[in-house]
Amino acid sequence: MRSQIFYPTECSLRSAIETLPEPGVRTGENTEKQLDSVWNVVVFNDPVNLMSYVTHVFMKVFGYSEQLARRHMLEVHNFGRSILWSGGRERAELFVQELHAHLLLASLERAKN
Amino acid sequence: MKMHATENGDLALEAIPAQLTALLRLIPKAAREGETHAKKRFYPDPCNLEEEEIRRDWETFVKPSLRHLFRSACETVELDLVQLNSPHKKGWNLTLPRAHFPAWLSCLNQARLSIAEQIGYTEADQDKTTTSVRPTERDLKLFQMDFYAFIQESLLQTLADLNADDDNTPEA
Repeated sequence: MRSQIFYPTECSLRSAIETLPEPGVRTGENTEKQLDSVWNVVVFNDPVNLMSYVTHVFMKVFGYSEQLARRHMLEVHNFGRSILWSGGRERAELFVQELHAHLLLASLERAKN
Repeated sequence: MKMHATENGDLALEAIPAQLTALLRLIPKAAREGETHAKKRFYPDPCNLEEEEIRRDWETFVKPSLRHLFRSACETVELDLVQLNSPHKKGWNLTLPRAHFPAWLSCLNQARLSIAEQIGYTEADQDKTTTSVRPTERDLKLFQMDFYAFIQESLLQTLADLNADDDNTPEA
């Protein structure tokens, strides 16, 4: 089993992350019913954060596999941004807060219908 | 300088030369300067300008919590750095406890981001190495950033190795 080292604020996220479906650009549970309230969690490129660190943070915050986390990291690196998660606003805000806690450039965006 | 993971999963730095010890001591200071030099980078906007409600809540609730988290990480690192007060025969030794890795990663990142803002760091600086016998102030800052990045990489590698070990441990 993977050992887990968390910031205190991640405790609340832990159970939520464990219930997430299989890796992919994950979608919150209400997305089909409320298309107008879908939010994207977007991460932007910056020249300072290490590639290995960004991969580590994606694995830790979203519970992604190393392969998927690395794919998103490379998307950020090569294209300047990547959508890491889509779904309800509250969870999206928590994810952005976690990413900011790890000093990554991240923001919430309303998904376009 | 030697670096290795201990049996407990800590990261041990041994025989650290004086110059690198000085840079290690500067980590919390460099990180704290980010509160002034890199404020916008430490606390980026959570969304675009139209989302006033989110921005207001962010200002009231999230930013103070982030500030507390960043300060707390620096304090943890500062306490570990007390080990550098007593030199050994071949230099200084420093052990980073496994439980403090998140704090170290955060503090090192704060320090690197803070320095990056101060010197206007860009992608072009990433692979720059100076061979000048008279390095500029900027060259020294770049070296400082690289050294901190090296420690970050070592922490991440140690974590990855530990996680791999844990995954391979049969459950009782």
